[in-house]
Amino acid sequence: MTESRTIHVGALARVEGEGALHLRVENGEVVDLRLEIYEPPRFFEALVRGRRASELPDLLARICGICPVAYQMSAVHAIEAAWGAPLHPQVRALRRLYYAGEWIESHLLHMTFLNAPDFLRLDDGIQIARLHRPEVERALRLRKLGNRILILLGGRSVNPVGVKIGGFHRIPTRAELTELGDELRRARGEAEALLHWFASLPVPSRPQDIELVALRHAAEYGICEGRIVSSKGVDVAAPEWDATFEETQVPHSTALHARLRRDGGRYLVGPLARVTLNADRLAPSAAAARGALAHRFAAPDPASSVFARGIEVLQAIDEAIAVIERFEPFTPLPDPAPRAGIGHGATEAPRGILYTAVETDAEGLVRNIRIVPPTSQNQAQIEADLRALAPAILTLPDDEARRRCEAAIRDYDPCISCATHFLTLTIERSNSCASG
Amino acid sequence: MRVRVIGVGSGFGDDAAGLAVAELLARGELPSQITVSRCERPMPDLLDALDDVEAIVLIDAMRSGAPIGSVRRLLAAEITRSKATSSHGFGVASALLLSQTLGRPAERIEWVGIEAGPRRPGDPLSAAVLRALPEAAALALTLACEIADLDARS
Repeated sequence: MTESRTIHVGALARVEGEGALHLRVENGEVVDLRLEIYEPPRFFEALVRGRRASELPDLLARICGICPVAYQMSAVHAIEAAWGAPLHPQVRALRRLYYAGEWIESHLLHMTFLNAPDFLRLDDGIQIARLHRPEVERALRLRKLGNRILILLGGRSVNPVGVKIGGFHRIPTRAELTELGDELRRARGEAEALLHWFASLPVPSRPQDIELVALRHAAEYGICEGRIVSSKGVDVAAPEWDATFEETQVPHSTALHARLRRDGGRYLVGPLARVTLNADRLAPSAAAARGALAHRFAAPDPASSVFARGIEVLQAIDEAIAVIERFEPFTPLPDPAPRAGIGHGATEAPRGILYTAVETDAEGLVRNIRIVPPTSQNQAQIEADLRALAPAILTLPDDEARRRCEAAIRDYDPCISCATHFLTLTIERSNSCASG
Repeated sequence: MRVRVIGVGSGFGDDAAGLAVAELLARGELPSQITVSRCERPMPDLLDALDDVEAIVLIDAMRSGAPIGSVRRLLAAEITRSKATSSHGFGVASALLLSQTLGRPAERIEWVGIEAGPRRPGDPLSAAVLRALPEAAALALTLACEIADLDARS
């Protein structure tokens, strides 16, 4: 007699966007598992074709309310590569500061309001605030600092508009940066205390064999630049993206799945990959925090992502302080002249590598653009993780089984709205910018 | 008493009504006790906007079944928390509850609603909502002045 059981989570809670999970088990074997992303695609790649490339930073910031900086940064790097535009060293540094603001804000919101309720068996962030008010207040204070950085360089924290190709529309004054630096130095202790609190929580453990993929820079913690490397031998530059990874459509998701071309294997991008592959590039306070949690990083464990985020909050604070301490007022370079070409940009969004390829004509109009967000890259890994988790939850009541599955998905901090794409045609892609 | 008038909304069609009212108010001269801000993300931006004020007047698009463009003062009991479970469902009511839970509730909260039409991406404000903006701004300012113990006509 066949014994079957179906677990269906119609709407995933405490994730960015709308998704569902369908899991069917027969005789102890998973016969069907689908992370269903049913948000409609928004066709950003199609709607920006024919627009001026200079409009992309503002337009692409609209893709996500949580990680607009990532969309702006990957796009401007791609365009600057296509146009052969030089970058002022201070602009390069300020971009790291800008990104630090986004990491701080995004990581703290996820850790505190989406992830922490799982560890404390609470339903939502309101309950966390009721029972752990000092920690929530601390997280909100730190998050606000990230917000301040976004406003300083982006003009506003929601859909920021301060970025242009080659730099920023407005460069902060030394006085503004000095004041921010003082606050960041005071915040370091708060970030350490918050991570210490998370380390005291009963965070589960699910070590598994995962290929980790992150940017790696020769001297810095990879944020805006670097080669794309993996824990199993990938080592390529951004223009080699298409030769290394491929996206495919699956019927149950409006987000494309990404896999390695080498062997069709799944992989993981995001803070866990970064903290593991770039441990030797961490700033002192972040490195010390990682050292204290070394047992959580002995093997790739998606449940340890919360600690990776906490470590990266410290990293972002130290990065920001370093940029501010080295800042010198400067005269920006002239705006770069457009030219026909294809450029590639890969930067580290809070959730992992965001790859963008842009092709422009000689007038600077966008001919093609392709955007690969981190959540779509992580989908195959999320499904593999849930398959591995299934045997352990089969004997649990439905509610508890659902809760465990949702918690596992939340470990990845999926940004579902970002990931929704839709292809009606299969297009062979070579090492060039193709329609998506 | 310091009062912050907060326009809540997004850039989609009539959902931008609250933002448009805030912009209208910000263009005029206001008493020093009254400030105006915009909020496109209740979580966490509304929390930040509540940090240093004693009272707020929230202006937001509403769906009550009234004719599009209708303006009215809402009662707190009429506001329900979104049933959506994703973080995108964390709305104004949830942000206010979180603020209250953290022990920093505004002493007084007033709501001004503007009935919205169908929401489609890319749509501008409907003509009916556009016509209603001055009325909503006047109501919000009257409530703010009443809280601040000022004469709205002065």
